[in-house]
Amino acid sequence: MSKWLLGVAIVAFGSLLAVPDVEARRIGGGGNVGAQRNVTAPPKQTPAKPAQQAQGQQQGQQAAPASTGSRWGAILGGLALGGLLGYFLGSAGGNLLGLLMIAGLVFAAVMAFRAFARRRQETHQPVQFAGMRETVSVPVNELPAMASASVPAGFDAAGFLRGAKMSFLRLQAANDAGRLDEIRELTTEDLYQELKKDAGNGHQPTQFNGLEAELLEVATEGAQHWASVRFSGTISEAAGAAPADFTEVWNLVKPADGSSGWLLAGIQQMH
Amino acid sequence: MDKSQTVRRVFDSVAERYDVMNDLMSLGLHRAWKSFAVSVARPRPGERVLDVAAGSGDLAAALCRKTQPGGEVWITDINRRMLERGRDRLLDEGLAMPAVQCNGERLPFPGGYFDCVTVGFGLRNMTHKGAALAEMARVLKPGGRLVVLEFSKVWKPLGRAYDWYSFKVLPWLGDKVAGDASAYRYLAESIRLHPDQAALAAMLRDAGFSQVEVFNLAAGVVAIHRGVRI
Repeated sequence: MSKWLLGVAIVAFGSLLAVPDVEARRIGGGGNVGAQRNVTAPPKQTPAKPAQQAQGQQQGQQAAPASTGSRWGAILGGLALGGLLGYFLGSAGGNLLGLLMIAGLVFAAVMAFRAFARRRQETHQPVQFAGMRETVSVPVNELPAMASASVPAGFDAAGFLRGAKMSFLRLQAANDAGRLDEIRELTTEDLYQELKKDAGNGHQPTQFNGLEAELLEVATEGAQHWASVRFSGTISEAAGAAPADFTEVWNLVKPADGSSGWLLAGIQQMH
Repeated sequence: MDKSQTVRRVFDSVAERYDVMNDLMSLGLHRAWKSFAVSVARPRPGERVLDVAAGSGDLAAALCRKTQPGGEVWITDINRRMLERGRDRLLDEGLAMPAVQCNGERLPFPGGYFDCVTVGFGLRNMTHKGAALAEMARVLKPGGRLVVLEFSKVWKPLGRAYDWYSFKVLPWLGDKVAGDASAYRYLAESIRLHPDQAALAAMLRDAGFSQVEVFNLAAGVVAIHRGVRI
């Protein structure tokens, strides 16, 4: 009898403790799904061509302010703390505080001018457009007027990418929560049929730390416009999981007659 | 020019350099203040949070991560350029949240919708602070928390050094970095006119908050007020 009770108890507690078997995955599960396109993305780290070096430099410079910001933040914070301590401890506190404040300001000014100089330099950096079959260097100033094989002239790339990022994050959230209507709203019917099988149920959301979007190609084929966007960033796909880098290309489609907006038609991995 | 017009002009003018100026003016400390404000707000997974006067979105980013899964963070700002910048910065961090351009004194949300309302360095710029606090109380559920992060009255012995810094150094920095000294003179003046710790705590109580607590940071340069909606 007691063994029987113990058995019941174990089963009951066991079921309470059981963790629901939910595997949070990003939409598409990190594989190839839906429409695949033949887009040529530039290799990320091959310092072969000078134009790509320029791109690397530019990326480095874009990344630099964040890291120097936090480093300087700590130094300046220390200075401020030192200033306060000096004021409390020193008998000639006022002078010391003044001195430290001036030192802090000199640091701040140096930092500001460096940031200025960097930004000014950045605007003169030639930029290489990703996804171009031939690398062409175009000064950033001439960006809006550029005409290329991959992106038509006059295409509002910045606005498009902002919208693409928003759709990307909305779709991830809808997938996590299993909101099929929202997925359907933003995807083609074919892709929706594939995605709905794997939609989650909201237990473990995918989280992003940094999201970059790059327009690889905009093309018109028949009655459809196609756009390929390369998303990259850092993702954690389960609670407590270590964040990992990811890169994938989303192929978006829009009828040329404008009967609908841009819809996600396929996701493809870059290997 | 009335106050709301001044505030609009100031933020239109400084929007582009807002982040670098924050780092310079506070010697980087604003990051620590904001992170402390988030820990005082105690956001939990699944909660609805409103960040009023979200500016560049620093508070909202931290709040958003802490309310997942299932949470909802809204950002508002009266200034369109600041709001757009905040929204784009959050997108770059991989966070999408609804952004609403509105006046903090008239929030377009139903009563009792949010679990927590935060306002970081924004209350000072509102013309009718009492009305704004009452609006924040209205949109909070009973038991919901309001967290106000704002400049306050510095500890008296530091008063002179602080005045020198805010009336001499800040406008100079503003001129050199953001190209607008008058905007930063406005900042210094608005800080001086803002109610001190005790006065703001009383305003929170008047607006319907209880258990009002005050946390002084950097010797009172900045203070965090937290109240619970009755």
